[in-house]
Parts: sequence; structure tokens; C-alpha cells
Amino acid sequence: MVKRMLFTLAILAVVIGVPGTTRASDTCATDLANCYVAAAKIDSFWYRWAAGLDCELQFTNCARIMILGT
Amino acid sequence: MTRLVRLLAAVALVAATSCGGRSPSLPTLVARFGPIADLGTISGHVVKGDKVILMAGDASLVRIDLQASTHSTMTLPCSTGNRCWGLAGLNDGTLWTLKGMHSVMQLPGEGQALREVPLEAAHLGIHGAGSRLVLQPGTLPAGDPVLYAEAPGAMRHPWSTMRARPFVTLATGAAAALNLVSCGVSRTDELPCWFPDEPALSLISESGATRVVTLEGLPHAAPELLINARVPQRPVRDVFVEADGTIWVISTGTPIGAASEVPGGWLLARYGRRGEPIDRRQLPEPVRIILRAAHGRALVLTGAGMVSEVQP
Repeated sequence: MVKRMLFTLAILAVVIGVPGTTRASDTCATDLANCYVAAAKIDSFWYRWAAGLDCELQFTNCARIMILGT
Repeated sequence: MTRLVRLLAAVALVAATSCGGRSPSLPTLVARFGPIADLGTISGHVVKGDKVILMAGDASLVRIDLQASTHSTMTLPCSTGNRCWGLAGLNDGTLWTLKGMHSVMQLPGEGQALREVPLEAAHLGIHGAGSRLVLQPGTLPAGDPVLYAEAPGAMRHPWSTMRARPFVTLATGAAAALNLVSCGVSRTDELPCWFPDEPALSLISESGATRVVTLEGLPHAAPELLINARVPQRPVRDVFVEADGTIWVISTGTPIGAASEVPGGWLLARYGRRGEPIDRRQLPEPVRIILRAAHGRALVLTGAGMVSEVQP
């Protein structure tokens, strides 16, 4: 339980701690935070780790619209 | 006193015009036809003579005929959660896009049906180089190649010298986003590709041979700001290379008047084939992509959806 809470806090710190005054990818960042929270609820360490990686991929997928789309 | 003011104005004008293209001029933008409405985000485009094909929004394939001044839209079997992204046009005339992250889809042409080919891993980018599909994986460890080429269905090989860069202060997803590559359109045998934060192009031949050209006068975007800004200041938004190697670049630039929600860049710059600056033009309205360019004139798609000509 404590480990999962620490995991959640750590990843939220990474998400919230990204510097910048105006958050572009408001939606992307919110989705990432929600994804991490859901991932943190997974009991198995390896499944939780894989879900965390998938969250990062989903963030990249979302962010590409902002920084690559024309 | 008036004479002094006139003299100072004349000196300023001479100084501004003698800077070898460093000072942006304000060109005329003449609407040809349109608007092509409700495009959404354009994730890729292919130019074949007078025909331009755009991948727009989640699932729209827009065909523009520059000669006939017409356009049409086809809806593809993609969705918001499984969007179509990017467009690759190969020498054999086939068109390909990414469907979601785990498959490529050959688009229907004359007498062709839709064909879907699964990918073994998540991918986030697709481009065409001659007869080869160029794909970008979704996971990009620093130092690894960012692009892989293949004939559709064949084994993939690293393509070009572009490598993923480390961003140690950013989360993995943000670092991966900054290593995503865009590619423009070229009338030569070199495809212009670039990272979103760098004012530089990698000009890549079908074989993967790469030469890097630095675009003088365009800003380097701070990665943290690029990933976080509501309207990211992108040094390079689109590129078109003429048959003689002249490089046209759309950069975000500086909006005229109040910041606008209209998509596109406000600066149009030209460079020689080795990156030597030719000129820079501050545009009166934002433009999204370059559809055609030759002899100092360019046909562009504006943020308002008009096909317009940029005249010197």
C-alpha cells in the first residue's frame, strides 16, 4: 500500500514538476496523471511497471499533435 | 527637424534592406481558392504535380487539385482513439498512413482496396522515401536511430543518421515526443526531416545518406517550453525543397497583432541548397503548409483554409 502511494506520488511529482508556465498539453498532462493513478492501483509490480510505460507512450502520442501537427 | 527625421528614416530603411535577407519583408498573399474548412490537425501531406493530398483530423483524407482549384474529402476507417496519422507517398503511387500505433494502412487508389498491415511494436511516425516506407518507433532510447525504412512488409533497417537525443530533465514521454521527426516535401531526391526543437534540417536520400543543414536566423526552441507551451514556438513547421535545391521553411515566427488561435506559422524563409539564407518574409496571416514553390513564389495553405499565393 505504502509502495503504491509512493509510486503515485513520485510519478505525479514528475508530471506536475515539468517546468513551464502555460501547459500546452493540458489534456495530455491530465491524461498522463490519470493514467499513472490507474497504473498505480495495479498490484503486480511488473504489470504496474508496464502500465506506467504505456502511460508514457500515450503521452507521447498525445503530445505529437501539439508539436508536430500543422 | 523634419529633414533630420526624414534622413533618419531613410538611413533606417537602407539599413533594413541591406541586411541580406535578415530583415523580414511583408509579401502579398493572394487567395486562389477555398476555404477548405474543418481540416483539424494536418499530420502529413504528399504532393504529386498539381495534386496535393492531406491527412487531416482523425480520419480525413483531403485531395486538392491545384490546377482545377477543387478539393474533396474521404473519410477513412479511423477514429479518435485509433486515429490516422501521417502520410507516405511511394514511387509506385501507393499511399500509406499509420492507423493507431500498431498498424500501417495502404489507402485506396484507382482499383485498389484498403489494406492494413500490423506492426510488431508501437509507431508514431510514417514518411515515404522513394520506394521505402519510413517508420518511427514510439519508444526511443537516447542514441538509437529514430527512423527505420523498409519496403512495405519487408525487414526494417535504420534509415539516416538521425539519432534520439537525451533529455535528462524530462520525463520519458516528453523526451520521446521531442525526438519525433517531421518530414516535408521535396522535388529533389533528398527528403527534408527535422526535430521539433532544432532550427536544422537533415536532408536524407532514399539510401539513408544524410547531410545536415543549419537554418540561420531561426530560433532554437527550449525543450521544456516546446513541450509545455500552449502555442509552441516551433523553429520549423513545414519545409518544401524546390527542384534546384532551394529550401522553403515555415517557422512559427511572430504573429501580427494579437496572438491568434488560427493555426500556422507567420514566417516564411528561403535558403539555398547548402543552407545559405536567401530571404525571410513576415506573413500577413499564418500559413500551415507549402503546396508548391518555384522562382520566388509559393502556393500555401493558410490557417483560414485558403489556398493562397505568396508573391514577392
